[in-house]
Amino acid sequence: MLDIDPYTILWTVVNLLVLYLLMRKFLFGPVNAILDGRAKAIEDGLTQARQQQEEAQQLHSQYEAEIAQSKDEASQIIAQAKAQSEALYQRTLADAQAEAKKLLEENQERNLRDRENMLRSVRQEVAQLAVVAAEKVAVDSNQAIDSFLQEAGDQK
Amino acid sequence: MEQIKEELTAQLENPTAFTIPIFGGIPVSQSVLVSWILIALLALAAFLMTRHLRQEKPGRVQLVLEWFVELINGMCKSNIGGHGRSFAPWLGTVALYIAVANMCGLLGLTPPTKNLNVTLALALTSVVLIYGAAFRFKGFKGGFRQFVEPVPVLLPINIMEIVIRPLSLCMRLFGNVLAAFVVMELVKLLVPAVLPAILSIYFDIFDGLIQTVVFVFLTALFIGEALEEA
Repeated sequence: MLDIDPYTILWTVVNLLVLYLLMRKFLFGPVNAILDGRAKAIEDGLTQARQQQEEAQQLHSQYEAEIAQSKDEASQIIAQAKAQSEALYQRTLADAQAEAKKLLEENQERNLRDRENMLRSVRQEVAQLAVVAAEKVAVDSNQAIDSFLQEAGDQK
Repeated sequence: MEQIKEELTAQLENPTAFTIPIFGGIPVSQSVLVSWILIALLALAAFLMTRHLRQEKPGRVQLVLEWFVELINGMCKSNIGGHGRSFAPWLGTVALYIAVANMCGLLGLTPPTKNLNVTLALALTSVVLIYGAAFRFKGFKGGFRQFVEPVPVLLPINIMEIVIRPLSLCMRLFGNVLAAFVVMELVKLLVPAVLPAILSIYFDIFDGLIQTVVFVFLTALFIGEALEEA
């Protein structure tokens, strides 16, 4: 029962080594490969996810900066346009005012000239009329004198 | 009573199954023959079960295999540490061998671990592993330093442990299996039916697995101790 048998000891060691090689080939090797592969896949997935998240964050901040910049630009453009339109308005208004003033002055001048012309022609006409009237009066008075004299002479 | 004693003594013998007729005859004991059968069965089972391993959506069989391998890996990692993975396949192999050897009584085979020489061989390989680990991973000097740690005063005790450790590993396993075997034989002689089946659940399955765990766990613990950074 308790006798030492070197052959059995040796055989058992050999058996264990053979079983070890078999198990490593058919059990621990393949299963560990699967486990390691899965662990690696998960780790890779996590790393990738983290990387993508970082990328997304970066893109996000980039877009935000771009949006802020565009907003700035837009307000700048709007302000510029406003200033431009204001200037244009002012210039156009000034032009129009100047034009109107000029027109008004021209009109006044023409009116004045017309009036003067009219006055002059009226004066001429009146003078002519006066002359005509004077002539007529002169003729009439001559005749009256003549007729008076004739009458007076007749009476005598 | 005499008859029972005689039968029991006959059962406890480790008969030679056959002799290989080379080099003047190499005897092969019954335990070794049973071991060969068990090794063949284990190898066949492992071969059949690991043929269709998948990384995603593992099947039920694969889940059991993964559970076992991860159990061994985890046990080695927690007891041995960083180098645990190097020892996991060997300790897993030893665990499988002791488990099936302890439980093969259920199949009507004589447990090889009932043979003192088998458990002695198991203990010797463990001791080679325990003391070799320090030489392998801590260098030649580190390998010798393990005998003067934690303090040099313990040198004699450490040297005695080289013999005590395998002896205790060997005798614990052998004693448990032998005791279970004797009790089972006695019960079988007294009550041939029903009761042996119930008791065999305890002696063959429960005790067999417990002794497997104890043997592998202690080996891992000793290796971890040898590799511990002082």
